[in-house]
Amino acid sequence: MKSFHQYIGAGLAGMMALAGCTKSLNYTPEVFVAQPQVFKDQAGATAAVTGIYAQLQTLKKSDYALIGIVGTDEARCTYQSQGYGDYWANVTGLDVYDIKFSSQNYQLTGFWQDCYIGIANANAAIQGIPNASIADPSVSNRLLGESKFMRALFYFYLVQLYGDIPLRTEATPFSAGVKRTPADQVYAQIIDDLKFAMANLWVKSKNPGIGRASVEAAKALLGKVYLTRKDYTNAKATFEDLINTDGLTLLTDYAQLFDGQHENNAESLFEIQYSTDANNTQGLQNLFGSYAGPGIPGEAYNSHTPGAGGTVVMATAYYSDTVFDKNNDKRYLASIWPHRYDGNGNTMDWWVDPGLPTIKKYDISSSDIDIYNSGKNLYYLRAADVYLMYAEVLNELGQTGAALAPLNKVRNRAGLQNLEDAWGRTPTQTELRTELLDERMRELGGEGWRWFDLKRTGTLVSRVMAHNNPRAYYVTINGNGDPHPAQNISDKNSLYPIPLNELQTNSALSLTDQNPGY
Amino acid sequence: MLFCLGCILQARAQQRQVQGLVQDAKTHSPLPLATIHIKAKGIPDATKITDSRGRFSFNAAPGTSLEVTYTGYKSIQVSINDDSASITILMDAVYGKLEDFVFIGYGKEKKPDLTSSISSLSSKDINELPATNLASAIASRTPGVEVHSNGYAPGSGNSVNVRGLNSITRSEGPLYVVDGVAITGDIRDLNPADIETIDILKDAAAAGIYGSRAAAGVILVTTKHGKAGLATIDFSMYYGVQTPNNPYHMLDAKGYYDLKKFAFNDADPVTFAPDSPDAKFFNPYELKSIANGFKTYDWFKAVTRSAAPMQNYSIGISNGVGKNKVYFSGNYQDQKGIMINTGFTRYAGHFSIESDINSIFKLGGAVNVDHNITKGVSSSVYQQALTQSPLMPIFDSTGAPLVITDNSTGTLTIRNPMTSALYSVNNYTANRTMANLYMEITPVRNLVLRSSIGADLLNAESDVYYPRNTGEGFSTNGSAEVYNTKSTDVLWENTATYTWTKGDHDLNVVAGATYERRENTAMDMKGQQFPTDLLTFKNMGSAGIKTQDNTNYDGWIVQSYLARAIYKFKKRYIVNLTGRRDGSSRFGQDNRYGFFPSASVAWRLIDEPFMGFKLKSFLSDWKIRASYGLIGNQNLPYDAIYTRYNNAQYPFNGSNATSGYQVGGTAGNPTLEWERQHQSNIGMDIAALNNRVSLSVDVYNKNITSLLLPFNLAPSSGFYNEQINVASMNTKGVDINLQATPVKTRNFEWQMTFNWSRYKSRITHLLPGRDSVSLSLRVGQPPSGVLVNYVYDGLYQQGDDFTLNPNGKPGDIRIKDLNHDGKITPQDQTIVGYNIPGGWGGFWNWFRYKRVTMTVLASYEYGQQLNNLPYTNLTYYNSWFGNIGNVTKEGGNYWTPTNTHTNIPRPNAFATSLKPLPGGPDQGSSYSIQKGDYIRIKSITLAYDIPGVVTQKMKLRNMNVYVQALEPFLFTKYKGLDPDNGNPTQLENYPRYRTFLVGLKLGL
Repeated sequence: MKSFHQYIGAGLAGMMALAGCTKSLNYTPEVFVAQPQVFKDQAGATAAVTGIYAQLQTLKKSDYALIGIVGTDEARCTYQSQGYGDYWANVTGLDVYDIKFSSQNYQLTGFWQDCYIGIANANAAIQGIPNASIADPSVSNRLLGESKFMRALFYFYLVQLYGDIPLRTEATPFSAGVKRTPADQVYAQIIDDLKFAMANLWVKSKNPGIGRASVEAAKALLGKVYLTRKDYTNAKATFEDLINTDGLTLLTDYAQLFDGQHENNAESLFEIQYSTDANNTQGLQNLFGSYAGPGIPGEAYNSHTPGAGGTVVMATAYYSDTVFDKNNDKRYLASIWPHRYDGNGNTMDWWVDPGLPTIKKYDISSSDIDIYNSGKNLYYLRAADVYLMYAEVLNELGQTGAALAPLNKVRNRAGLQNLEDAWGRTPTQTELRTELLDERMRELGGEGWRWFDLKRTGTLVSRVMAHNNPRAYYVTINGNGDPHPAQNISDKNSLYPIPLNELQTNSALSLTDQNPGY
Repeated sequence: MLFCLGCILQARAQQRQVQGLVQDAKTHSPLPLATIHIKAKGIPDATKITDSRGRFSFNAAPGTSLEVTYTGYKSIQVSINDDSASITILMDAVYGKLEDFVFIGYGKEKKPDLTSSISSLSSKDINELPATNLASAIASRTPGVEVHSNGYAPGSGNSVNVRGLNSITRSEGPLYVVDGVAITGDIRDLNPADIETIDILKDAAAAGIYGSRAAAGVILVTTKHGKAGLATIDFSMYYGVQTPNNPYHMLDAKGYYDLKKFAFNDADPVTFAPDSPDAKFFNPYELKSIANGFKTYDWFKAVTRSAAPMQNYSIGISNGVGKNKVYFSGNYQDQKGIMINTGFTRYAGHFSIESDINSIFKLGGAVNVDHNITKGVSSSVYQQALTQSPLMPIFDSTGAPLVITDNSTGTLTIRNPMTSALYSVNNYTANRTMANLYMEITPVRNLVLRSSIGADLLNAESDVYYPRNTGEGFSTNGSAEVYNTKSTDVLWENTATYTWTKGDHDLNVVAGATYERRENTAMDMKGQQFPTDLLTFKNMGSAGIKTQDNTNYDGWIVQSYLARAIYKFKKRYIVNLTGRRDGSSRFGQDNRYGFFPSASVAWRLIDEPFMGFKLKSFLSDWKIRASYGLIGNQNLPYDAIYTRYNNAQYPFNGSNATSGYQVGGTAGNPTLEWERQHQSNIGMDIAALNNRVSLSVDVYNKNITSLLLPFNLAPSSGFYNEQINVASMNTKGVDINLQATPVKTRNFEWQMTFNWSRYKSRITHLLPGRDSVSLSLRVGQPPSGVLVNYVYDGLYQQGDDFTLNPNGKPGDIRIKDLNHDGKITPQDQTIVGYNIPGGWGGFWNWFRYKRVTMTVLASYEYGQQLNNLPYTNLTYYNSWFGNIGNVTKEGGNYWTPTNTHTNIPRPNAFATSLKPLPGGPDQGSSYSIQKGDYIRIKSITLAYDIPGVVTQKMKLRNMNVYVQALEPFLFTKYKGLDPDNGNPTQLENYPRYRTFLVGLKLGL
């Protein structure tokens, strides 16, 4: 009997052991880190800030980058692009503001989404960094400064494009519905963030961290924000601070800016970095290149040739033919492929759209893999932009004479004489306005600022109708069957429509919160 | 041989020699070393033991009674009569034939005493078809279980659904339990030949013992174990030939020639004028074929084998002498695929042992080892072979596949799917070991304590290599992937079972605790730019670029307590109460545990005294069952409760990447919990005419709540969605199983089984305040299988109104403008069909004439519509399948200005204008929706049982030879694809085939 009891005892004891042993069901994930763990230390905080930059890279690596470039007077979509499929018809919609330019447009929805992912990462970092155990407070402030700079950068895109947007900060829970905050409030947040950044980032000329946001970049961006708000006094002060305290340099050879061999040069203030690693490439030449022949007669023509591509975007006639002094302006041949050549060395201008001039600035260099995978960086801010903005500010403040100095710096670098010498007189304020707009096209064409420049100066609709309306021209030649889509821009298009899925899923918004006219 | 232990001959009674044989009543297998107690009046009891052949011989007087006992068998009393010269004593196994018992999870129950809905399949049923995969073997054999194949390629898996739809987003199929060990994931590494029975637990009361894993049903698999008795050896083999059964008939060379010329001319009449030379349309190789009188090349034949062999050899040895029962089996299977260079090979072994150490201890275990290799092929080979230009020659003058490279750029200008078929590598190798070890202690009578440890270890590797002369590998100079996965699943269970019987009362109580831990690891490497193709994927170090180098580790833990009580009163009122408490690591802190109770009752009317004699002579069985219970589904992604940071990189200096983290994607939800299913089931089992007819009907209703839905977050939050438990749905259904023996004479017998199932699933609640998420996901509709598309409205003809398609031409597809707004937008889509069957099932017929048997197994399904996009794509010229674009003969009837009475749109030469059209080839329209009703004859088998006279001469127990035809006929209006395809919107990547085989089974 005793042995039986032993057996029962043993068996039940085993079961009790299992029952009593509350093996923890906390299975800690082994292959990823979850939110609170990331900000434990400096390495984690730095890694999280790296992720914010990565989101900017993602935003600009393909067709979303066309927002700001097409639909302006400098670049347009080719007539073939709408036929490449529904997706590309949406891209064409960004250019001609037709029925595809709606709240369901893929690109503007994706742009909104990608910017907000960047903002969410920045918010997470701004919330988490103060709690991280970082020994040196200047490091922690610098990381905070970088996060705020990036948040300001994303919000600046959004508020210019969409107007009143939901303002989410580090305190907003992600599932909360957020109303459309008035643009003024968003700008106030942007300015706040940039001021903190200015005070806490590294100085570019002195710091070891190439590619990171710097004091100069923050000042340049802050100046641009003030300029957009028409706060010329503060803009002037910021630009002068930047020019005098930190100094700006212009490269002597304009073409070097875009040859892919001079990344992060002295003129650049903030670039979006790409490399030839598998995940870090951009595919923009494919959008700006043409499938017509090479730009140099007799050159081999394949996916490794600069200028080759899918014929989606091309330069407007104004940008490629009119605005440049083709003989003297060294920027012309660095910005535009004026001709394409067929196998016999003859120009193909007759092959409408694929044979016409294209923008050259995104061409791959010998270090890139192919037209779909390029490691070439994109400029966000550079010194020439600051000079032209400073000139604009001075002109708006009535100091037209003083505005000529920074303008001439840019002109001289391009091989042109001073403006007053070329014209034989000082221009009026109104003339200088127009001249500055054209100068921005010559200097910064295709770099992603044009739409914002036109909106800021109130010239979006007029200049687009004047220079981005190829159908009007071709119909007189080919008749009504001409395939170029009509330009439909109107005043409502100075604001992009709020994406439909935002209105549907944001609990504080409904379909009535859309921008007028959509 | 005479073993005579202590035998005392008494002179008093007239002793005479008694001899005989002790055998198992069912199998007639002799029982060696059985104990015979001899009781006679006036003499002391004696004990004899049978010899190794079950024979006995001793002296005893008439009137002596013998009691024969044997472990595992019911003791039997036999009296010695005067005239019994030789006695054969038949003993019944205590557990009878295994099929008389049904496994109900942590225990067994006799079929008549079941209170819940369980279907059983025997080894004979499972092995009737030579399936490589268990799920194929059970398809259409039982009601309520829907099995769809994932393709015909050897080694393909299946998708299994028990009792309809159980979730909106998380259907991972039923839980498989093999010998008590829950295995999650693939069942395809278990050899069907090693399976003794399969019991499918369908309703909440049956499956509830598995609590949180039971929502999609539980399939209990019991592998073969040794049987009591002398060693038996069973050997079976078959050899077969597979022949292609291609449902697509493509245009020949002349038809293709006309099509291409018409298409290009129609698109661009200036460049491709009707009188343009052929050289403008065709390349030099095609021109040669044209000159040769439109020579047609058969690409399909080139990539397939006209007769692909398959063979299988299986041996099983069972030995149950005394206290140990042992079972070994080995299996080799090799199936060459219909497409060249494909196939499936399996080596499997199974070993199980049960040992009664003494009256208290019992030890047992089983190991199942499976090594299988699947050689596959890229899905593009079949697709490209179908759509290749029939004018293109397949091989060049050296006999190698014709490939043209542009030497200056290195790009392939002429691609040939033969290169991929012949030279690419696409292998999947799996090594699976399932093992379990258990110990049972019976400290007091009626109490059994059991502890078991089980493990499921899978180590699989997938290797892919595309050399530079294939379409997939030329642009990257070779492309390789090595993907290695390991998973380990360990289960520790402890249960105590107590049975108590007194008078009319019968009680069986089980209580237990289990702990399961699963760990998965994966390693994935992808590379490109290889210096040579000779080493294929084996030297990843030589890759010029590594495009992926990734590892993954994840796992989960489930910890549970379970209890069940079965109470029977007067053997005809049965009540079953089950409860299980599960804790899972997949859920947030506050929601880890759930309690899943269920109850079921059964009333055996047939045993009621009020069943009159007349009724009882007609009915042989009548039982009514009812059950209700709560079961759960814990199948959510294991990381759904966390907000994950993903890897991100940024090259700060423009060249070297710095790695970092980025948040985004799915936001974590720490409050996630189980999906809950309340299921009620009413069933009736009735049999008549001495079990010649039996019918089983089950009606069930499931209310499923807390369904997981990805709740879309506002894009401005930075996340796409988070998983929340919010939705609910309802599934109702009926399962019917009818078994009958319509004819039974000495020489001729006909048995049949017919099953029919049907279910209806509806979403009852979605998101708060919203009744629909999209057109295909809304309240009142099934959670999946809703086909939403544009409505096809014929073709545009000359002079039609083109407002809805301003850039269109006559011959384009016209879509109905449902909301009459003058344009075609996504608002013009509507529900055009449902992928849910109105009913499905199987029909099994068995005929016997003397020693010849014929079996016909058929399956059917009706009422479902399918989106036959692949067939449409093969009908429209230049559609999704690329720029080569041959079409089917039906597609040859395309619209031209002189051929306007047709449904095929005008051929689209540059793949530009039809593609973006709503209703165009990429999207489809109601044109591509077809009825998927079918009746399929799955197999016809003709078998012959070799007569006993012959087998005895060969010293065999039995021998059977058969011929079999698999998939001989399919009756359906569905074009092209197999309507049973689990993934109907994609073209099969493998053609259909029929198999003819001969086989042999013998037992020693």
